[in-house]
Amino acid sequence: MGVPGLYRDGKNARDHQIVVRLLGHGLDIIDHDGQVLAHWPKAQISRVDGTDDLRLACSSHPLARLLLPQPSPVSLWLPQRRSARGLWLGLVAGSAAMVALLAWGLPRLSIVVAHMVPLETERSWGQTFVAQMEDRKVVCADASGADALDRLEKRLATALPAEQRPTRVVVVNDPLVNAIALPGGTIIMFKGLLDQAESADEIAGVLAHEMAHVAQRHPLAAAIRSIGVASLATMMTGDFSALVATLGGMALSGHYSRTDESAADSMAVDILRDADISPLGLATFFDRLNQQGGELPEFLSSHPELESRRQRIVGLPLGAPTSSALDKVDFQNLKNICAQPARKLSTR
Amino acid sequence: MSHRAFSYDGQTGPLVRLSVVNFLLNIVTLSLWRFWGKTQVRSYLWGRTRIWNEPLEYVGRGGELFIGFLIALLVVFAPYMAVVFTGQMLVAGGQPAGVFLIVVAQIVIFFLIGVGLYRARRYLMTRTVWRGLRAGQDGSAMAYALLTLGHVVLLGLTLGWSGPWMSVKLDRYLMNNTRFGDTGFECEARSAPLYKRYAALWFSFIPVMVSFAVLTQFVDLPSPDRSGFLPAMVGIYAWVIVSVLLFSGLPLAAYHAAYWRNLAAHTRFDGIGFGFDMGTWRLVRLFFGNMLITIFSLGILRPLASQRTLRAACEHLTMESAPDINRMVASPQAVPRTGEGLVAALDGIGEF
Ligand SMILES: [Zn+2]
Repeated sequence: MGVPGLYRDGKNARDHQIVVRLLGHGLDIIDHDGQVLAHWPKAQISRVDGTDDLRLACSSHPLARLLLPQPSPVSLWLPQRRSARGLWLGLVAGSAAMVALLAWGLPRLSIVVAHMVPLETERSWGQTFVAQMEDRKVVCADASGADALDRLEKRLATALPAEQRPTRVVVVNDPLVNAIALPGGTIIMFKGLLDQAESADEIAGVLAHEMAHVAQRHPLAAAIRSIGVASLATMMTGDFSALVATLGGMALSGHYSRTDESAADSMAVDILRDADISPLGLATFFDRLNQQGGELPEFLSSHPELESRRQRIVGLPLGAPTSSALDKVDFQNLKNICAQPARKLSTR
Repeated sequence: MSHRAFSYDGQTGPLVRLSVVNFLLNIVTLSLWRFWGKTQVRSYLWGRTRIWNEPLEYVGRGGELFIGFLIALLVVFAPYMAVVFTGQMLVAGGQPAGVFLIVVAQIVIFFLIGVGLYRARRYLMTRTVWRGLRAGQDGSAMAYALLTLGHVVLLGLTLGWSGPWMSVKLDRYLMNNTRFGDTGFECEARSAPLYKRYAALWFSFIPVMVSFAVLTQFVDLPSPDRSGFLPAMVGIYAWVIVSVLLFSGLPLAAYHAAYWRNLAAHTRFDGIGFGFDMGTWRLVRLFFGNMLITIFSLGILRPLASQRTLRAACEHLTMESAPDINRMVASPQAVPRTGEGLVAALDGIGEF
C-alpha cells in the first residue's frame, strides 16, 4: 500500500507514475514494477510552494520532484510549519530601531570618517567643488576691503593650529544673507550678509562659526553623510530608486546636524574669546535674523533652536575685556568690498 | 486544462506583503537582505507562471547572489573605483594623464557590464526549471560584450541608424544560445521589417532636441548652492521626460511592439514557432503603470511592476503547439555556481 503520485527525476521532462511508501525516517518512491526508484530521507525533504498539488523536493536530488494530489496523508507525515506570528511586530520594531540607530550614529560616524581622510585629499577634492561654482560667482576684490577681511581672518585664526585654519575666505557678490564652508576649507561669505551686519563683531561671529565648521571638518562630514544616506536609501528600497536617493542626497547635502551646529557655536565662542572679540555679536545677529524670519541661512540651519542657541552664547562667560573686531574704517571697507567685483572664484 | 501555452496567475496581495517584509528586512540588515529578498520574489513570480499548464520553478538561492556580489565587488568594482579615484587625483593635480586613465576605466567597465549582463542571464536561465529541466544559456559572454560595445560605437557613428540592425543581432545571439534542457532555441529574426517604424522614431527626436535647445538657451540655471537649484533641476528633468513622451512616446512604443513581434515570429523551439501580439497601446499602458508603481512606492513595490510585465507577456505570447516532452532531456552542461555579481554590484539593470 502506498500513496499514488507523479515523479520527475530531473533528467528528462516526463512524468513517471509511482507510489510513495512512507517510512519512519524517509520515503521510498516505487514504480509500477515494484522497483524502488529513489529513497528520500525525511530530513532532506522540503515543500515547493505555490501550486495546488503537494510538491516535494529532496536536497540530495536537486531537480527531482514528487507531485502528490491534495489532500494527502504525506502532508501530515511531514514536519508542520511554524506560524510566523510576531513577525510583523518584530520587523516593524526592528526597522524602527535601525532607523533610529542610523539617525543617531550617522552624524557621529561621518565625523570620524571625515577625520580619517587626509587633509590633502580633502583639499584637492574641495578644489573641484569650487571649480563647479566658478562660472557663476564673482569674488569681490576691492583692495582695502580684502585687507580688512584678511586682518579679521588672521586675528580669529591665531588661536587655531595651522591645519585647522581655513584655506581661503572670500566674499561673493550675491544678495543672499548667508555664509558657507566648503570641503577643503574654503569659506564663502555672501554680500547680503555684510549688508545686514550692523557691527564688525557680527561679521566676526559668523566667520568664527564657519571657521569652527572648517576646523572640525564638518563640510566633509556632511558630504560623506549625504553620500551615505543616498546609497543606503538606494540599497534598501530596491533597484530603481537611485533617482529618489540622489534627490534626497542633494537635499541633505550641505546641511549640518544639530550636533555639528552646537559644536560650531561653542567653538566659535572660544575663537572669538581668544581673539578678544565679544561673542555677543554672533548672538545679536541670530536675534536679528530670527525676527526677520524668511529663508534660513546655513549658519542658522536648525531654526527652532535659534533662540536657545542665542541664549547659550549670551550665557557663556565673556572672558577678557574685548575690543571691536575691526575699526570703523576697516568695517566700512569690508562692507564695500564688492565695489570692485573682478576675480573669478577659483583663481587665487 | 488551459489551451494557452503561457499563463500567469499571481496575485497582488501576497506580492505586496512579500515586498513590504523585504523592505523592512532591508532596513534591519542595512540592505544585505536584498539578495534573499530578490530570490523570494523571483520564486513567487516563477511559480505562478505556467507553460502548458505546468509552473516554472525558480531554484536560485540568495547566498549565490550574495557571493557573486562579493566577488564582483572585490574583483571589478573596487579596482574600478580605485582607478577612477586615482585619475581624479591626477586631474586635480594638473596631470592630463588622469583623463586618459578615467576614459580607459570607463570603457573597460562598460565592456564588463556587457559581460555581467550575459552572465546574469546565464544565471537566471540555469535557475529556471520546468518539468525538472533547467534552461540554459551557452555562448560567450565576451563575444556578447564585444557586440554590445560595437553596438554603441556604431550608434554614434551612424547617428542611431544602426540601432535595429545591431539590436536584432544581439538578441539573435542571445536566443540562439538559449536552451531548455538540451533543446536549443533557433532565432532567424532580421531587422529590415523594423526600419519603417524606426525612421518614425528617429525623426520624432528632432522636436525633442529642438525644444531642449530652446530651453537651455532661455533658462538660466541657478548655482547649486542656491535654494532654487533643486526645483530648477527637477523642472529640466521633467521637461526632458515630458517632451520625449510627447513627441517620441508613441513611436517608441510602436517600434518596441514591432520589435518583439518580429523577434517572436522568427524564433522556434524544437521546430515550434512563437507569436507575440502585444499592441502599441497595451505596451504604453504597461510602461506607464509600471513607472507609476515604481515611483510612488519609491521602488519598494517594484515586484508588482515585474508581475504586470510577466502577466502581460503571458497574455500575448503564443506557441504553435506543445513540445514533445518525451524528447526533452537535461543538458550535460555545467551550471554556474554563483550569480549575477557585476550586475548586482552595479544594480538597477534588468526588470526582475
Ligand atoms: Zn553652521
